[in-house]
Amino acid sequence: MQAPDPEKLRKLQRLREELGAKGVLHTLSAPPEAPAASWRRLAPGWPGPRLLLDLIEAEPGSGAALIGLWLCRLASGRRGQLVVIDPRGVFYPPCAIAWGADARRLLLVRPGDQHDAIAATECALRSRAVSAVWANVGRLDDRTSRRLVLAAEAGEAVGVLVRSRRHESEPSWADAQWRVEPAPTPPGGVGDLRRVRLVQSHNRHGPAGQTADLQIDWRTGHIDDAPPAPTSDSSEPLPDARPTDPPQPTHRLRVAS
Amino acid sequence: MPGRPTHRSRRIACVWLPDWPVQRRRLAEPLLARRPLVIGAADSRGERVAALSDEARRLGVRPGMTVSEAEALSGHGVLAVAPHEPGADRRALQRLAGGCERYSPVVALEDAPEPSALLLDLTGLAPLWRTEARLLAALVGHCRQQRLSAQIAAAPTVGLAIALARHEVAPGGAAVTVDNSVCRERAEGLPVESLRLDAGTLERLDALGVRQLSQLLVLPSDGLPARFGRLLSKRLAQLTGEADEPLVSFRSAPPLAARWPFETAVSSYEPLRRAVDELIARLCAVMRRRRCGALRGLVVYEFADGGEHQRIVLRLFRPTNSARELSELVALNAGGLRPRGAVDAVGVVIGSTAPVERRQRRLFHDDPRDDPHELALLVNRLATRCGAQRVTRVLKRRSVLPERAYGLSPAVDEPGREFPLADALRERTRRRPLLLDAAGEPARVESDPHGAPVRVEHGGWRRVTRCWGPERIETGWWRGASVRRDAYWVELAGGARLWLVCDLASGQWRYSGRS
Repeated sequence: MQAPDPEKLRKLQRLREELGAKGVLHTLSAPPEAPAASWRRLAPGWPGPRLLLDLIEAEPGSGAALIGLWLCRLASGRRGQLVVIDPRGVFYPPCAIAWGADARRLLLVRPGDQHDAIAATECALRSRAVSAVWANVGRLDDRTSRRLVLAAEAGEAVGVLVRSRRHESEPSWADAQWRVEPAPTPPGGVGDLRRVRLVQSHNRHGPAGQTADLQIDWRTGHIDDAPPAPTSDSSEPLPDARPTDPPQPTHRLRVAS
Repeated sequence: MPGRPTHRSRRIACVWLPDWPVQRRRLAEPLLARRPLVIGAADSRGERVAALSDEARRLGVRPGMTVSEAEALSGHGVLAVAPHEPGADRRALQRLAGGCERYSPVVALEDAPEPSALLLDLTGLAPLWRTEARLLAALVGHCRQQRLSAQIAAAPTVGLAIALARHEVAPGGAAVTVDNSVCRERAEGLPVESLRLDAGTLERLDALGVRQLSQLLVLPSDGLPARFGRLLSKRLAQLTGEADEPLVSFRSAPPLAARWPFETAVSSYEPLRRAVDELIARLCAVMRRRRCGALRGLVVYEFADGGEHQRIVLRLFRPTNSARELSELVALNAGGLRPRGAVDAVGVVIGSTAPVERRQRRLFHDDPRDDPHELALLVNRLATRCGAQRVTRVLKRRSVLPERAYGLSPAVDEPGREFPLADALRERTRRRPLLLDAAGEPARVESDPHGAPVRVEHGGWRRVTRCWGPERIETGWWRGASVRRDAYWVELAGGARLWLVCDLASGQWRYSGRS
């Protein structure tokens, strides 16, 4: 077969890029929802590929796993595989699908041990078929952390590591590390709405320390910037008020273990 | 020449294994042997009965019924439900086919999406057993020895052998045999369902009152394709031997093997890697000539101390004949290039191959995330490193128990499927924890008289500021041992939310999930 004319190829490529730049192609591959504005501030390069983000759970139940999944979902858009590395076998796929993950593109890996989990994460980050990796991994030493960053830079994916607080002091080569802190529901708040605070504890590309408040809406299935908390509320205690004991029920409590 | 029988001298045996998924499951789990068993397959509308045992059939259960209906119909705790695993069924059938190679050099799987029959080419083999009847009797005995319920038939064509095995039963479980001379006469007595047609064609034939092959065989063959499609004519011709239906062995080619004996025992990484790479390169060159790629492979280390060989199994999502890819997969495997002792010789065996799809070079670089080749590479690598059973796709199941509302299927066996959730169910499922551990750690909880948690021991006793629930999780009586749990989302004083579950029978609380 005759080789295509390089000049024609260049012209076609340029036209194609122009078409893409006008948004026609981008519209087709754009994620269904725009991410919260805070992400652009907190994650340099977001939502572009080749990023490694480290989410630290301030305490169990802080919402880090869900925030991580949401980030992966936004990064994956409508293309590529979303790979979940779950060595503990506790990831609940129906919930992830209910939050918008596409089951046809969800690859759930349950490695037998921590070594396999790291190797699988690295392998998934390097793959060009993957758009996002959610990994619940434990301790990362300096070398392993660096390996994962290099893998992310070699591939096309956004990697989100979800780890517990005891790993916060370990060295991190991730592009950004955030601590996810739960925030109490404000008085009178609706139970469907949940607030979390993200504190940037590490930023490889600049100064750290920025914060963002996010609101998780269980009813609509969206996570976005939280509106400002009410500043004055008659039900709120005054700042200098004496702390009171929590209200105790009038009846005898039952303790079960 | 049209109408001329071309394969009158062939002899084909069909070993049909009724309800093969049920038989396979029972062989794997003998405790299910006498219990009514159904195989549930998830589709967009829930979990349906894909195959069932005779015991379940006697209870009124039918294929296509929802599993819930089947459970309700069969009564309290009677029915056992197992997940549908077509990949495992096919692999088990291939193992059986390997065992049947002692009766015929060519053993094939039935050409169907989910095969349940083996086909053996017996042409010219009868003299080796003195008579064909003795050969078939040995085959029947082999199936009995394997504890298989099988119906066996021998005929001059593949189509007739399959039709007879499925629709005629010989007394005493013996094989049904049809001589070449009475082929057409025996075919005339069979129902049209024996022709392996699609449901639409069968419905059209039924609407016209055509139920026996004798009715079809008298019709002019020229007019059939226009009315019923080409498949009907093709199947009729295959049945009567007017068209060929070749048998393709389940082993697409004999296993490829190469061995490298070392002059002295080797335990260091580099020479071992070079030897494995060299063997893989040799086998890949052969596969490239044959235009096929490896699907299953084995690297075998033979130890100097005479100990048991160490085997590294490679299972691939798509066939490949790239030496670089295969070498990389061996290196990725946890024990790939780290044998447990000094190695005397190393061998590589490619046990299963398949044709390799030629990849069209693209004019432009499209998004690689859509490239099926890249996906195959990923699945191969992950499956080799972590084990094929640990790299999975998610399937929908219907259950009130959250931990049973989904299933996992090896990604090497099938691509991802849809997991449809209606809006209401989607909202309800979002309220489940993303990290769910049904058998989570026991929790110490103070509750009020209504059962709602008030304080939780979670890094010290902590007050519950808000609580949502209970969500009663209760299985129906038809599920056997009943499950009764109350689940609560609780918000602790700091804002952390936990999913606490109380077993109502024992009063035991557990931390069962979080997000």
